[in-house]
Amino acid sequence: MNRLRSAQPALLLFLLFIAAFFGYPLLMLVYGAFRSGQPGTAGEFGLSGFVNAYGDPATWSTLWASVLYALGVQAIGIVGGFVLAWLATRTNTPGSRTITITMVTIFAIPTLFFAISWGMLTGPTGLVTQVLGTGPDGQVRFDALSWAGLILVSGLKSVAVMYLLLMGPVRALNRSMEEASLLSGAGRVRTFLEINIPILLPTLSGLAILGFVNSLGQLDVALILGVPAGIYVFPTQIYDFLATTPIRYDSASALALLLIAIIYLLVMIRSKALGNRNFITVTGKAYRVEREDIGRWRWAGLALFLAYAAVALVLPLVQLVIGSFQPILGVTGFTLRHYTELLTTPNVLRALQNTFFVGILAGFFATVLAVVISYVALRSKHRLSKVPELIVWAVVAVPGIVLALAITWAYLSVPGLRTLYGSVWIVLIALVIVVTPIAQRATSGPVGQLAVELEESARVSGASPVRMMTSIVVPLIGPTFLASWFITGVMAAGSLDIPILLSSTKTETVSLLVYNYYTQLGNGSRAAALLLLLLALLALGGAILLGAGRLLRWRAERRTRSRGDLVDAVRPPSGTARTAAQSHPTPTPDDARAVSAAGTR
Amino acid sequence: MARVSIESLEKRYSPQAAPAVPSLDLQIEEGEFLTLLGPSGCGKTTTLRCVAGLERPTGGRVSIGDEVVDAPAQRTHVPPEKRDIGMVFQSYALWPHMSVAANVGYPLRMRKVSVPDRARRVRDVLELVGLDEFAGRMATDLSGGQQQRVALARALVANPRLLLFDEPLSNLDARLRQDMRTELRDMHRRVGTTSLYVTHDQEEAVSLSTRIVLLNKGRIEQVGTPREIYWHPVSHFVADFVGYDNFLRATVVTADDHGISVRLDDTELRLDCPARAGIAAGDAVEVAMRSASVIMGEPATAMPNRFTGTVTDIVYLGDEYIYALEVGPQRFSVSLRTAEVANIWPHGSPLVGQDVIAGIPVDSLACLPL
Repeated sequence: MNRLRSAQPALLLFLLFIAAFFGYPLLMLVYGAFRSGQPGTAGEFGLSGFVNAYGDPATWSTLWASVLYALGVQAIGIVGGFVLAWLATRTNTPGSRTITITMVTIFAIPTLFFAISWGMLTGPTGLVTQVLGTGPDGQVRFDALSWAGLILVSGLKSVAVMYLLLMGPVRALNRSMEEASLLSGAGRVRTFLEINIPILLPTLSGLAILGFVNSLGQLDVALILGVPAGIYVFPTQIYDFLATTPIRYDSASALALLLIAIIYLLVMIRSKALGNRNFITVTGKAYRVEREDIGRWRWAGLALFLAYAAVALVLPLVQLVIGSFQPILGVTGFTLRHYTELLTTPNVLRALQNTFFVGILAGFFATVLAVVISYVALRSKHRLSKVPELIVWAVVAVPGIVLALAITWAYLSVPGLRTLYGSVWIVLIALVIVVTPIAQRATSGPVGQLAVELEESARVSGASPVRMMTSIVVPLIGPTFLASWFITGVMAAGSLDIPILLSSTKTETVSLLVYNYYTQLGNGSRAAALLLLLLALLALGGAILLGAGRLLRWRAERRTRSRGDLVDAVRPPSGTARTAAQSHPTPTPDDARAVSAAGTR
Repeated sequence: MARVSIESLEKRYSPQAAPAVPSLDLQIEEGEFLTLLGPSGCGKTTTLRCVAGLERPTGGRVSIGDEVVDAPAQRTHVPPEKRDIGMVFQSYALWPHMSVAANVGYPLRMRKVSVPDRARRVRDVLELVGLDEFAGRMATDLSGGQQQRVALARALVANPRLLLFDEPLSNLDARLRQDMRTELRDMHRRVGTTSLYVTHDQEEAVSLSTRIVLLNKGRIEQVGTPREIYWHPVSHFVADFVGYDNFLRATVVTADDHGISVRLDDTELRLDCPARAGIAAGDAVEVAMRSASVIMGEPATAMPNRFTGTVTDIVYLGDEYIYALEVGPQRFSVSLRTAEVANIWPHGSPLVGQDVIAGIPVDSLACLPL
């Protein structure tokens, strides 16, 4: 009891820190919306920002454009993701493992990559144009810089995200409910429509709203494919307010508030509508979880997957590789110039440094914060112990561009904090805030499963609190920690919306540099080369981490086994002792879980 | 109603693996309540699911009534929805998005029964399981026992020709299980539908069934009425599974149509056992008995299978005592109810080290070939 009481000031301090770190910037956003002038300068309070932003009819057309865009993307994402998840987990479609690996890859690649690559694909000499040809008026038949392109490119990525999020629920469907329906006399199709779909409906609609919200705040694709075609959605409109003179911070903030309001409204509707319709079902022992034989249809399933992989991953990658070797983007020829130039350009090396710095640290800090927050909520009996969790959950719906704006207000308005602005730290802080909710989702399950008894039995066995942490808690959540670190790190490294507002020339990240190269005429090839370099480095990092995880697991297994042998050596082999020691559960990294959690972003 | 015939049923899950069911022959008579009993992995659920059509057999033939529903050699497979059967699942398998009435009415809807007829029939069946007042509730709002009754109503509602039960009581707690057992028995008496029931609980099997099939590794160990299985197990496996807990090595002295006489190995003790085919004088056998069948003290003195043993251990379990008796190298375990102990030995029960008289009724012994 004494220990608990002495821990309370620490808890309150932690709570204060979380509230300041996550909550304060958002409050400052509200402050900024009611105030004219730039952050940190003199200004007057008033409604000019709202009047300017909401009085402009363009804002309302932006609203409809955003809704249309988000709806289109979700339609593709949900349907595609669901169909592929069903094929991969429930049917004997060949290569289901490959499907998941492909989806994780597509998910991990920054959105920027797809946007730029599709811009090239439908350019005058792009691969798609070469296949589809040009129309009679000399225009390309399919241009990614259009409504269709915008929705298609975002939709293709959304398919991967939805696939990862739906895989678990689809796999967890209680088979006997389907079997009961079949035995009642309903056919396969009818069972699917009347039993499976309604049971999944809460999950599906929940994910649809989540994805919709996510699309509303998505900057990258809209910036690269939408703006040149004159299509503005919320994030690009906000960015436009901030990037074109006169810079209108108040209008951008007012618009950001509207976006946040819409997002929270949707999130609330979702939890209200579905709050008590969570179909948790009694699951008996699963008789058999083998996949269903769908006969010849499995080849159709395979074809569907291959078509998706070709369009969503292979085509963009090939185009980018081709583009990176062209002397000037779109001009045939072969040169290594862009790569050699990259390696000799000082700001490229600096950008790579910055990117890895913020990626690695943001992932690490976010995961540490997430674990501590979950752990505090799990163990502390204090009535405020769950507040940090709630604060982090509130941040999950805030789009990156809006958060970057909020950070600007929060840190430029305070004299001491102002010095951080323009440094790489401000980028890091913003990225930590953005990815912590994802780390939270990825780690909360395994942390929540840490039964108190596991710790108590360690203490009773004679372990000190520190020893208990290092020998019981860390090994149990270690793999989850690594997976979450990697996923959030990759997301932070590939982010464009944060650096685009918060980076200075010295603190540019690779994605910002790529964007700048691409939008500067003629440097598309260099942008392609740099993107590929980033991808290669990310893949390398992933491989190293995967190897490290394997090594850790292997060592843990070996150690467990040798300890089992030790037991056998001390006691005459009785058979039972040995098997008990060997079957000791070694935690396996739940990478898929972390990925699917990250997909909510 | 229909009879079911299963001929040389084979089911392999993969061509390399050993078959879950190598070759099974079984007839389920019309109106019978037949139970497949066995430990997990004995193939009982696989067999049931083959009859349901949820699993496709890899060999043999299954017919329900006059209809062949599975014959892989002829590429015959009637899908489950066309078999006209009802099934109760272990996990209830009620659809969470439907009300109780909608769950129960679903099979009727699939059979295109008109709405008023459907409503009437659903009400009747819900009344039968005592849940008529819950018709409008969501299925998952009910308790486990109620949910399983809804599942039963759903299986019964369309008057299927065959009812299948896949361990329907194993998710319920002990009290509820007993109640549901009684209800299931009454139900079968009233409705009389041919039923195939799968369980690993011998008590359940004995109390419900008209016939029990004991399965081991996909093969039939014994088929018989509950009494036959309970009192005349044919093998060590069956005896062990239905609760025999004393197994003693013995040698057959005489064997004829009236009975078998054996001598326990390394002792002079002779025991008379019921007659049984296939056992001849000189055979080495195993004599099996339940610890509860052994009688001690005064009542044993008049019994044919009488002997004197030394008490080596006494365990008190509250409402019963377990005595360990030794006769030479052979050990018996005997259980006596506490009230019985006081009755037999009003002046104090035997202590460890003392000799007692014990006897075993002939019919409670089973002579098992080794």
